[in-house]
Amino acid sequence: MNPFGRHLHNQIIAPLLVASVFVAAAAMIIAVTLIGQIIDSWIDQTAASATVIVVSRLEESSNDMQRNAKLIAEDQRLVAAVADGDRQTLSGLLVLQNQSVSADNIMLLDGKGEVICSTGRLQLAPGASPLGRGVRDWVLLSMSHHPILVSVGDSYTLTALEPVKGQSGSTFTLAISTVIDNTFVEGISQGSGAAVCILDENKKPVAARSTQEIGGAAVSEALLAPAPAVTAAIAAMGADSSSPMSVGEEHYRLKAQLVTFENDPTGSRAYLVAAMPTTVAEDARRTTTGLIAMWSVVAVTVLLGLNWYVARRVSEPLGQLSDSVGRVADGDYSAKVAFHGLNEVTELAQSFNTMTDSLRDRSESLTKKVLELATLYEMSRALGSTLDLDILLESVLESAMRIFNVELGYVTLRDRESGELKVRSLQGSSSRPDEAAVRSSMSEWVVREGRPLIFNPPRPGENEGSRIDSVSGALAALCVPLVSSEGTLGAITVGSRDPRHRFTSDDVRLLATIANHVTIAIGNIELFSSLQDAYLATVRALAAAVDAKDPYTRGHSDRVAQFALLIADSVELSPEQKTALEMAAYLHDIGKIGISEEILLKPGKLSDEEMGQMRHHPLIGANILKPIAFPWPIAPVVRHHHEHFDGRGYPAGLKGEEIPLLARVLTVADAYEAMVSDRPYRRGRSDEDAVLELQRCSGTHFDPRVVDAFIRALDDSATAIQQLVRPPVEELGPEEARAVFVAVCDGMCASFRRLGGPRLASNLEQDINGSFAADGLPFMLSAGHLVVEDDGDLSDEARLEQMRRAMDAVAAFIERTSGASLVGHFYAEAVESLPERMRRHADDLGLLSSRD
Amino acid sequence: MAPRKRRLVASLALILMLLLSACAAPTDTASVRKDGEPVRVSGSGTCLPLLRILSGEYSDETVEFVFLPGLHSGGGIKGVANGDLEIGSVSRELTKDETALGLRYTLLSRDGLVLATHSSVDIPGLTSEQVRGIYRGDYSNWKELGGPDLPITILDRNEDESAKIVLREFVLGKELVITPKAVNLYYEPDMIDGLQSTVGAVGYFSLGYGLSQKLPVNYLQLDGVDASVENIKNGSYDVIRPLGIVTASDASEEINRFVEWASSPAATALIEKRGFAPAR
Repeated sequence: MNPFGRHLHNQIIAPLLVASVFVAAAAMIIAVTLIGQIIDSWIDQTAASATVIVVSRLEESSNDMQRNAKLIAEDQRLVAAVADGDRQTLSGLLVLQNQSVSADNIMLLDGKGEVICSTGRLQLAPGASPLGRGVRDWVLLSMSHHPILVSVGDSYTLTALEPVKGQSGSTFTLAISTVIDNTFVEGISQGSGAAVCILDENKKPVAARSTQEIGGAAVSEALLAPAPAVTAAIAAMGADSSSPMSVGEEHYRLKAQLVTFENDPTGSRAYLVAAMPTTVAEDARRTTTGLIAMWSVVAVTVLLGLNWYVARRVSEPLGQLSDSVGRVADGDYSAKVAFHGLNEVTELAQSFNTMTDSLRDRSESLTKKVLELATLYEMSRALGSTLDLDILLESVLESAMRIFNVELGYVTLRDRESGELKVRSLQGSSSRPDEAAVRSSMSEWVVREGRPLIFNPPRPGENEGSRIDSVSGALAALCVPLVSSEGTLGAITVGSRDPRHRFTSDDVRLLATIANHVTIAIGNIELFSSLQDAYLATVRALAAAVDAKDPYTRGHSDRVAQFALLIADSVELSPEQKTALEMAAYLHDIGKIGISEEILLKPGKLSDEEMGQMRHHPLIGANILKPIAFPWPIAPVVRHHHEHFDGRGYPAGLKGEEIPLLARVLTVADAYEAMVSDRPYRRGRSDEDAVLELQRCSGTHFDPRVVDAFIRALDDSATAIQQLVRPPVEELGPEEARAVFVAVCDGMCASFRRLGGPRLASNLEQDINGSFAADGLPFMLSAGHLVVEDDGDLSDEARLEQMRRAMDAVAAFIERTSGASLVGHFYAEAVESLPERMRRHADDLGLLSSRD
Repeated sequence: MAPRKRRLVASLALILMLLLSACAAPTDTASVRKDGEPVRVSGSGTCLPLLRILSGEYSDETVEFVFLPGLHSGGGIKGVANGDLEIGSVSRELTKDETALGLRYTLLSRDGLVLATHSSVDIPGLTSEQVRGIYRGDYSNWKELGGPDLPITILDRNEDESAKIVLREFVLGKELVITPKAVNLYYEPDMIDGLQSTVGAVGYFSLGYGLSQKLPVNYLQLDGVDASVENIKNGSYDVIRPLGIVTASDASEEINRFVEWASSPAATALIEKRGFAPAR
């Protein structure tokens, strides 16, 4: 994705960055160009002014020379000497004059332009002809002249000429010359700030001078050499520009100027070139450019930073808002935006926060309502689906706790008989509350007053002692009465141990709704159970009628019902089937009402006819029951309870799975009961025999699965009984242990007496009593009974130890007199004679553990 | 950078000097020198080059010398006597009147006086008679003296100049009348300048100065004797003049120290090396 198109931030910064860079660059270009132009024109002006200064100095010195020439020419001695033609004197006078004027050279020329005498740097000997032919002609015009630029001998000079009247009308010319050399140039260019070069009329460099500051000898030499830059400068003379020149690292701008004098008949001319160093200007330009560039960079950076800040200030809140809106869209109403300051964005943020708060509140209340509805729906289903009060209350409490998001809940119901309030179901607390706690609980008040009650823990700062519900230990609790048309049944309470939890009036309304459902459900359950009780009573009445008819089988139906239920548990029948089975078991022999008492009460074997009559009783029973609209299918069970699994039964001769399951179960229970119970004409078989018989007939007579389930159930129930009647060892009281011990001891003594006779038994008593006394045991045998003396406070362990030692003593005596094998026999006999419970205790106590 | 800094220092020094002078000027007369002020030197122009050499070589940097324009020997003596100068240069014997002033005279060197021509005149030397002839105006061209065909330009000095006095004493004689064709030059440098720049010129000047400056002129033998330090020392060249200085008898310690040094063997060796004959 294009990074510049994505963020508002970048969209703000990018154009500003481009703009500021563009402005900075434009400003730099303009500034640098302007500065360059200013500096260039400044250099040109400086060069031009330098040439003006130099030229004016040149004129100044030429004026001085003209004045000096006049002074010397008018010197009387000189005039006289000239008149005399005295060369020696003239020469001396020139020397003398030159002391005062300090000219480079003074000479006197005759009419032919030859030197009469000369003194000075030119070192001209008399008779020499130093002037070029062209110049000589006008020199001899004998006129006073402004100095001219002329070559004298080998030197290029500025020379002033003055006529001096000589002998016989001849005219001599006094010439004062200044050699245009580097020293002269230095003199006239001093302070101009430029290196100066003078070129003769042929544009041949004559002299140049540059001070050390302007570049020194290197520049002078560059100017004196036939430099193209100099030529260019001369060519550009008069124009308003200058030509560049470079010497080494240094750069110069050259400005040329034509040097001519007014009233110069020779029209002599020279060129002056001023070289102005641009180093300072370049430095200035560079420094200024650098400063401007630096300032531009700083300005751009500062602007960029500012842009960045502004863009962040604008885009960051928008980004946050956008994120938060996205989160809100995803359902996260806790999304918040927080900005500091006071502007439109913070107002927007506040509005947004208010909006999300309101959305969250609505969403939460909506969610809560949905949850409530869902839970209520679920609860109402649960209410309808069970007729067991405990299950009902448990599921209601669970739902209510889930709705209110609390961990405690209980239901109290008023007991119909006692009128006392009892806790029927308690969730979230392990300990069962005692009656006092219930009496002082809030539900007691609610049930009494018939009004709901809330208590919430005090808020921080509220000066109110916190209350705790005495039943559940909740700090915050809500209790609503279960009000039916018959008055207040009880109360439902939910609570929380969280001191921050608060119940509201909405919660009261909701819990009241739940309470109404519960009340209706309790009513239903009570109604159903009374209906069921009525049925059961009816059935029992019918069963009693059968019992009245056949006293021999009294209690038969009850016991069959018990065995049938035992099997029902084992084959895991549903509660309805169990109820149906129970009913059928009670009523299975109802058909015997229709059997004549002769047959029914006849002892001994029945004839085939009698037996045929007897075999009608399932059909008769089914017919009796048919008109009664039982909620369960009882009649088929009664009809087929004599069918055999192999199809040889009666009345229909059904086979295997064709026989209803309940009928097959009932057949087994009925047969077993008939086998084990005593009858007037015979004793009942033992359990084991009955089981063997069941197993023998399994598959033919009985459904094998039902038989297996029954045998399993019998085993389980035996174990269950054993476990029920046999308390754990640690719960065996010392008195009971002693009773077992005494009984075993008595039993053994009795066996010994039977075998050994009274005499030996009396010996036994004496001997053993001696042993007891010697051992300090608190026992004594007297007339075949063990008497226990008061032994004070002893631990159970110590007593057990005493008993074992006593038993050891008895066993030792018997062993001594009758042999070791009899000890075990006597002990087993004694234990065998004990009741079941005591027998097991004797085993546990291990009274004879050392032998065996 | 360096020149600018030097300029700055110079201008600061100037300002300081202006301030100092502004403070000092109203209370002092110019005639009395204070310690730390420059030592003022003037007098015979012939002797000044020697003093420049000596002061230049003097090791004590704290003493600063200023050379005022030449006043001739007599002017130097008068200047020291009335306190306008600290050192006066003298290139002649002191007169009786001058000796009476009670100044301290120190002889530094005996300077030869050499006759010379412009380098275009290539004669080796002149006799005393020929010299007298030139100055008397007997010759007008060097041809007459065996030289090139050039007019003789005669350069001379005033009669009260020590060089002229010495020349008259040893060569020209007191009675000789100088030709009007000769020109009198006031200062020795003018004489030397004229000799160098004028073809055919003849003149005379201090041998020591000429040698020390290595002037490009034609030194003349006098009566066949070279003008050299050696010949002055051995006495064969006798056209000489004493170069000395006068100082106040109550001169300050630093001036006396300079005078002592100037007459020391080290200074004498220096003098000789530069072309001046030592005092003795």
